[in-house]
Amino acid sequence: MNKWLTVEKLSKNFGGVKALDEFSCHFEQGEVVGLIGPNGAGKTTFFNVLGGMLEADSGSAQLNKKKLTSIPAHRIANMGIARTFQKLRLIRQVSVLENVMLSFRNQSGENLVSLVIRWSKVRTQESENYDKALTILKRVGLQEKAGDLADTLSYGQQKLLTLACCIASDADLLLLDEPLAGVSPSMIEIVLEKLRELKNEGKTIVVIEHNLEAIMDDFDRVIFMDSGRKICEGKPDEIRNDPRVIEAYLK
Amino acid sequence: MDYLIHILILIGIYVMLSSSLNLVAGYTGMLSIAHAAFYGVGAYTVALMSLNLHTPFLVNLVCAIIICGIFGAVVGIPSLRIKDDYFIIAAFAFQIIAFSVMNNWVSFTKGPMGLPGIPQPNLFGWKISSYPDFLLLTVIMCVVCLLICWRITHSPYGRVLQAIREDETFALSLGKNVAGYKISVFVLGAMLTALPGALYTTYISYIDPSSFTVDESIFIISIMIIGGAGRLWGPVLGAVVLVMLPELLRFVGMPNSIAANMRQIFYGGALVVCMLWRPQGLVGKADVLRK
Amino acid sequence: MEQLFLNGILVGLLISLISLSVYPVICLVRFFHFAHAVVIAAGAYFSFLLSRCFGWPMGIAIPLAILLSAGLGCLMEVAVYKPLRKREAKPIVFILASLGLYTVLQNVISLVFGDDTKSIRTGPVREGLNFLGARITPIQIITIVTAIVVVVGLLLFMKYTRLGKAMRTVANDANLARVVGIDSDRVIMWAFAIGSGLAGLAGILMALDTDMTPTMGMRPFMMGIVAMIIGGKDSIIGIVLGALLLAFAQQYGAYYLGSEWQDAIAFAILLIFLLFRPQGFLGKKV
Ligand SMILES: Nc1ncnc2c1ncn2[C@@H]1O[C@H](COP(=O)(O)OP(=O)(O)O)[C@@H](O)[C@H]1O
Ligand SMILES: [Mg+2]
Repeated sequence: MNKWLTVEKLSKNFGGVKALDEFSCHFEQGEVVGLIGPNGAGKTTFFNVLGGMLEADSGSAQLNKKKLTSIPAHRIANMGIARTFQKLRLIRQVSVLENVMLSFRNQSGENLVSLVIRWSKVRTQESENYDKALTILKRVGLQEKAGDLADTLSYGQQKLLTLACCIASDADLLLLDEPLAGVSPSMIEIVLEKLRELKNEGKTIVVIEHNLEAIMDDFDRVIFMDSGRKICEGKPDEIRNDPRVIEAYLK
Repeated sequence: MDYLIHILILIGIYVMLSSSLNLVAGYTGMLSIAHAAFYGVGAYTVALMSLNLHTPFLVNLVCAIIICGIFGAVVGIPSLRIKDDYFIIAAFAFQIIAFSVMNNWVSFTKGPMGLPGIPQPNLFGWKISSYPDFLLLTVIMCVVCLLICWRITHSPYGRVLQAIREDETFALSLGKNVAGYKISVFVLGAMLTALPGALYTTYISYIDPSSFTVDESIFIISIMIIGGAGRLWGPVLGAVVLVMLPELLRFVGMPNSIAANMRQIFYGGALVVCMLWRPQGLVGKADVLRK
Repeated sequence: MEQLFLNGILVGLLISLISLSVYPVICLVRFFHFAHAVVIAAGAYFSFLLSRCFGWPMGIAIPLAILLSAGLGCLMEVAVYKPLRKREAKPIVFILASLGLYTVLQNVISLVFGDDTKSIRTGPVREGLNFLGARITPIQIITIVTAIVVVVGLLLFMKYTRLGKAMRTVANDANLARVVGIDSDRVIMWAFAIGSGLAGLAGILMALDTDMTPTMGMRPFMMGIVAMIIGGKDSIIGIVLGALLLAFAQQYGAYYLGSEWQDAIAFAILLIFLLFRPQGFLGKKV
């Protein structure tokens, strides 16, 4: 088991509900993997456990041979994992630009001590980050909105902004929870294009998505889960025709 | 004239108190009900040191800052790692208990009798004794305090504080050590109260525990909220309005005994009204307290 | 020594009573209702008003004062908390509003009655009876009995009555409660009524023992809240044990270290629990 990211027998219960039931899987660097399954299958819970937002009842996850389970969420994020949320999360009362600037990791100006003793370093880094943030916003086509409050963006633009935040984090592993849900068809194209760009840069991307028509062909591999378990996995075409998947989506 | 200067000095003290609270509550979203207790710790430190050890003002001030910081850590570290609920309780308990210790530890603090005759400060040979002297000291301290607040809130650090106020989970997912930020800003807020604490002690030259009650904490909170939480100038405006108010009440001829209660009823009521109809206060950001 | 033990029991039960009075409210509304502290004082002052100013007998004044306290709690709920709940305000807004309510009500009391100590005790201070080597006054016996009755009553109430079960459902899961057709506003109103009534009762007992001032509620309220954290927020037995632990630590601590430290001991216990067992000793692990 020397995959880049391995997940072994993760379990998570909510009261009586088994949201994750000995869920195991693995990811290689540079893959784009689809995580699909009916509502309540435990997909979001998987992201939450992986990201440290929830503690697993049992099981383990390892990134690059380093243990992910039972370490604090912020440290997991700093190990090179960025994520978006199904219920969109942004800092709505600050500007679009500041949301991106928040996402840069290891800023010396975020430390109270270096804020005092390394004043000039903080200043130069801040202005570099400012430029980088603008570049990223340009890349996702939000440069004109840079100064607006994040709250004033349309829903699709907000999703793009969360993607921009993931880009700014410079993480190797991106966990995207339903990036296309509620996004207009024209915007879907933009999001997909950005995904392909990120794949070409060598990022590993795990995507939870229901809109399979739009995104299925971009997946290298698809994992289908239901009731907290992995039912099957394979190439998109195999999954499309798998009777278990068809049945689950019909019922 | 002296009366006017007195009012200005009081305003300055409350500007510092509510601005430091603003860092904790307005920017980071953690309501601390212990601010008057920290203020008291700072004030008592300066008073006891200058009375018993006869150390110079600056030394006392530095010690007060450090001791306030230590108490901030004692309250913050156990409670902020877990849930905000626990923090509110711990801060509240600290407020009540700090008062009770100041009030009951008679051998050290003289209890409700208070400590009289606190010497006036001497800064590098500048003997601060007249009203204008104290006003200048107040202005200097206020400027320092507001500069610190400004610097903090307009930095990447301050940006994270606001992110924590708006959405802790999101801040975590961006790799921010939320508990660490909360603890550090709380300790910082506690340390800043040593400034007004030292000023008040030496200016009035007498302190007793009644200046550091829960009611005082609520007063500081009201200043911040009514002025506008999460804005640098909000607490300044709030302090001006709420400190002037009782003076106006006195001006219209309300007897002192009633005026004290009326003042508190007014700002307590204003707090409730703000929450129901205008959470942003006078100049606050529209949504600091909204969903 | 016996006296110390007896005082521990007495203070512990009084803290339990206050803790349990705020328990139904906090379980349901999920924020710390600081204005509860003033309801404790209000109970005492209502009984003062009725028995001293109006000259009514205690048998009428006390029950009526309890009812008035309950009404005061409901009034706060209707006038302030319910509108805030409808707006889905953040928890910090509720707490700020409750601090405002506390300030207003406390100052109304001191405006009306003055800041000086008032008494509803009748007759001279009694010597107290001798009980297993300790002195106990009749009012202290009444306090102990009342507190025990309230604890048992509340336990039975939460377990067996429809309203008690509804409260537990709303406390656990407001959405589920809506699904099964529980009117959560009505349940919350009852929680305020019961909790505030008990707070009023606690205030009256305190006043009968040691007189009253407008700020008398804050410190016991804080002790009640700390007991609740120590005991684990979800269990009545835990709260009572927490209150007793707190009271004993205070009594014995004051005896050995000096009385100025008895509150600091309470704080130390709180910090120890927060550090090592934040769920309280009977609470479920989160
Ligand atoms: N915080 C939570 N508390 C209780 N139950 C939860 C929680 N989060 C998820 N669940 C339950 O776990 C199951 C899986 O949910 P989720 O992971 O959100 O599914 P998906 O994202 O696949 O739609 C669902 O039955 C859901 O009700
Ligand atoms: Mg989901």
